[in-house]
Amino acid sequence: MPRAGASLRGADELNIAILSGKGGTGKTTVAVHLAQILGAAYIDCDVEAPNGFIFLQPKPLTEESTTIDCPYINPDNCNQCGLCVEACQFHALISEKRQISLLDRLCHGCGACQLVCPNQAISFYKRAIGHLEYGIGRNLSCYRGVLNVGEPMATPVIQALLGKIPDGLNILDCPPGTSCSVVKVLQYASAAVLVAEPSAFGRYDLAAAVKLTQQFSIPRGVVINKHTKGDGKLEDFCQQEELEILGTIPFSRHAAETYSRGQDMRLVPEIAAAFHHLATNLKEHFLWNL
Amino acid sequence: MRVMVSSNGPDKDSLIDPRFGRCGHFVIYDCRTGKLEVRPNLGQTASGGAGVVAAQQAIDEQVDVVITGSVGPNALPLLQRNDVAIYSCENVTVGTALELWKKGELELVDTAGPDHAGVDIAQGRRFPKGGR
Repeated sequence: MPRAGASLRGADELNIAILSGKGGTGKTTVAVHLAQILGAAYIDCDVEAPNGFIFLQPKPLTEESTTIDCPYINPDNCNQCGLCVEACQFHALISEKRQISLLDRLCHGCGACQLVCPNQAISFYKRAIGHLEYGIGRNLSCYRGVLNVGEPMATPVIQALLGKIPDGLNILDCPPGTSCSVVKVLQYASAAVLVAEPSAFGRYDLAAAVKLTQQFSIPRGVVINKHTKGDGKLEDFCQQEELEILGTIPFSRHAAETYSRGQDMRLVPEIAAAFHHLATNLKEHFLWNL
Repeated sequence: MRVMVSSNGPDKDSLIDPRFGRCGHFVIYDCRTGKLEVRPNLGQTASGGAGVVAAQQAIDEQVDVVITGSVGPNALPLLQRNDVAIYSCENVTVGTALELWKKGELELVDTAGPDHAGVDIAQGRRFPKGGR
């Protein structure tokens, strides 16, 4: 459970989390371009569907496995007293007719089972749930986590990833939504950039994301992506909530085509100008607040 | 033989609840005594692994048969490994389901339904697993 204010980030890290609420607003677009302009390390924390490396193409890649300690129950020592089943808060252990068994995908590696076992029947084995990758791409340090297909828990991989990032400025490209994966990233964040799009769905999910960042008492700002003149409701919402708009990136079909080819969107002049202003405002706003 | 039915309510006139892991009650019929016992489903309020908790309850109650709508991928192998036969039934009362079972008119279930089906139904999702 997150404890607001109990930060996990390293003392010399300056971590800017890029989150959104609604998926598809442009987190990765903003993150990869900002990282290049600011010379920051790029960290892809969306371990279920990482996509930042498509643009930054880091090479070569070093890999490291992420594991969870899962219990092995020795049938010679186990008398099926059931204390471990009772202790497990995640219902990963079951007392079956003939044995105690483990549902490994539910196990959070907390070790409570071994603590309560009176018969020394429990030891731990390491179960791989994903891996971390690191490389240099477009002159940036690039890190990401990759969760194995079928695994339900992303947070241990995110935590392993964020334990390994360097000191200095890091751009943390968050997963979409406001679930525990995003909460886990925010536990390491110094500041939050919320990428919003001018649609009703976008506004609704933005409100949830803003509320989440408020739990962490970190400075925040909004970037309006795919911006058009529109009905102004998003700008009204930001004013109402006293959210600083750090920049707007105009809606541009040309930019979308460039992006779809995996190219740098700054090839489009109005996009380059928008990112330049965003980076400047971001430095002013967050340096002042931090 | 003990037969456990996932139920919306605490008696034989209650409608079957098709969600094994997330139903409100289990009504257990004991063939030996001819009596009905009612239990709250311990898995109903579990944040995760509801099917596991419900299956554990079935094992602890020493039932031989479960009658429900569908059983998810965690609960199914647990029930099968512990000698519990699963039958599918919906849209009738618990009492009617038991009658149909006694007459051999219910279908045996040997494949898992989708995971989190009970949570999706409760939140009004008719077509779950949409994109991001």
